[in-house]
Amino acid sequence: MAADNVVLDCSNVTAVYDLGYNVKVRAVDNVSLTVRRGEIVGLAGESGCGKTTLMRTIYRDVTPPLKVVSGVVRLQAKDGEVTDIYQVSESELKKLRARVISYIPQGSMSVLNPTSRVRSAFLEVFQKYGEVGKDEALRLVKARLKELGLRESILASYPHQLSGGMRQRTVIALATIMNPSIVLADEPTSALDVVYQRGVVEMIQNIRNMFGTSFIVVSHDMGLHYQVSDRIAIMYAGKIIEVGRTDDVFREPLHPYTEGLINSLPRIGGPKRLEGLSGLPPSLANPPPGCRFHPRCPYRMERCLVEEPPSFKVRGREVACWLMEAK
Amino acid sequence: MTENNVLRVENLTKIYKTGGLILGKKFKAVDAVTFGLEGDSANIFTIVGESGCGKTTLARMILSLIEPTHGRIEVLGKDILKLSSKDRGKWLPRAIQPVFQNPFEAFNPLRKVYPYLIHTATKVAGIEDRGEAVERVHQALEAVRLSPDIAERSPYELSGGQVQRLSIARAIIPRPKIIVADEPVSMIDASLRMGILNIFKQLKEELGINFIYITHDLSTAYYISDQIAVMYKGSFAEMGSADAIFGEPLHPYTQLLMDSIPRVDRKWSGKIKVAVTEVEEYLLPGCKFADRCPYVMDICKKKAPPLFRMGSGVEVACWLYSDSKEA
Repeated sequence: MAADNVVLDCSNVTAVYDLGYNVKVRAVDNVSLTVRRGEIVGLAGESGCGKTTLMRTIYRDVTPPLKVVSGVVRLQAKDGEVTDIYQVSESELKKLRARVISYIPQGSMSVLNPTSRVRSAFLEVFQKYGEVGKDEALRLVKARLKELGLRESILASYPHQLSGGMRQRTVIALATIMNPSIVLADEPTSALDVVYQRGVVEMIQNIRNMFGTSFIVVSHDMGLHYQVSDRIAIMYAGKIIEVGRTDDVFREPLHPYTEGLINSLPRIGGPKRLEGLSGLPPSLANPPPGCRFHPRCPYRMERCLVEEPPSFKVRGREVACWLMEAK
Repeated sequence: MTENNVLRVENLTKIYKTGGLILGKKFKAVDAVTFGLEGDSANIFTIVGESGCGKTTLARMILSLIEPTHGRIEVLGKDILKLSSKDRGKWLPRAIQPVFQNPFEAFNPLRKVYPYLIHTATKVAGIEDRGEAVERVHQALEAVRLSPDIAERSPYELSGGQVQRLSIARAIIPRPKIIVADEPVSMIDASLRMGILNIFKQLKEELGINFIYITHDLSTAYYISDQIAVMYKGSFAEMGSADAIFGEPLHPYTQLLMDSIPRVDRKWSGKIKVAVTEVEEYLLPGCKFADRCPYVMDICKKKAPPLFRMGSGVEVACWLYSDSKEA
């Protein structure tokens, strides 16, 4: 691993949906991403750009037709031990998933069993992964809820008695109860009303501050990324095209796609004439040659049509665009 | 009531009964909503609120898809609850048209789009001459900036943004005075959203179509609205010109909403109060926001506030403004 404080190192990962008849959808194409300890990384992009597939690949939640063709995903536990998630046995994977990496899939507000109280969901986690008895487990759960500012009474509630925002926060508490190093949260706020979104963001930041947990937050909502993440990775058509500190990226987007995306966001008090990006995202089964953004890019050069840009390092950022070559 | 009333909604109420015959409870999804669209030029009237606030129920009543429990709806001076079946079938669809959230549900996935649009022109808009019908369809496609060959395809071959444009094209073929658009961009990717909203603005300016825009998203509401009503638990908390409401939100709920949207130009600061459960708020006798309101007074818990009319023309349902005249 590059540095001690890197919790997740995902390098050159390619994952393909093999649909037979020679149709292969390269949903994640040669993606590299690192996450440091206690860092919240936002993963942004439009629907179908491969965000969720990347999360599944990192979590090794890979079932046909999805296949990981190449790449390495390394995780560092809190005791410093580094593991390649694709090199461990099933039983080790199970341990890794509780103590090192945790995944909150999209729509997981509904993972709670509607016919049993919230308490039993927490106890089940301890039964499966923990090495403590029921009473001790319950004590730990109560202590954790208190730390996170959640009411103890939710344990006695059925999921339907909680609001969507409270349910989502309960699920996050559940996913972090074993103190993993990194949590993958896929669209944690997309089904929530704005007022509840903020509560979820506060909770993610609290967990990071208190326990040094790292997060990857996947969302299509740029506003959410601006509020929650320290660094942001922008994905387009299966590739990460720009990575940088969130404030820098929003202040001065370098990749033309990021620029188009950020400039097309309506801002209260801002201009009332904005142009959306022209054109459409490409099909991943048959992506355009060269740079995948070239059909929509206003700065397109001849080179972009044939040659795929590598990731250039520019002022602490990584940008996959030929415009950056000179800089 | 003036002659150029496009839409007048008075005391519109929808009560749903939940539970059994004997122990059933009444639930006011929409509670005595009154507003109007008037004036010489077309307007975009936005109803903004969280999920479950009744905005979709209100929209569906205006579209005459569900029957109100009581109240009046006048479209172009006609009471649409008392229309003859002939007017309901022929006149109403030429006065008011819907655009829904999921554009794929608006079209038959097995049929090509073009015959569907022609059908709309001949049967709904009542154009008998085939050439004229084709002409009208082409005009509509041009207005939403789609090339006519796109209509030769099936919906599944198109992107969400394209299909939503088609459903707008369909809606304008009968040349309605009002389009009710229920969350029309919430399923569209951020980079394409502005394109759709710009079409609304353009249709308003060039064809004089009024819009009732239903959304949960304050940033897009800011971008296109002339007037805004903020809906909370079945009734309007605040209503007025978009400039006034975005300039100085008066109702504590509007303020909360404004503070909780994930903006891309200002980070959140401080804490917000989030309600634990949702259902019980409907059962409060006084102001439905009293439980979450930082300025709550005794009267708020006893008596629901009427709308007070402020100097700016904004109407606000909050006892804090009881010095002003009732609207």
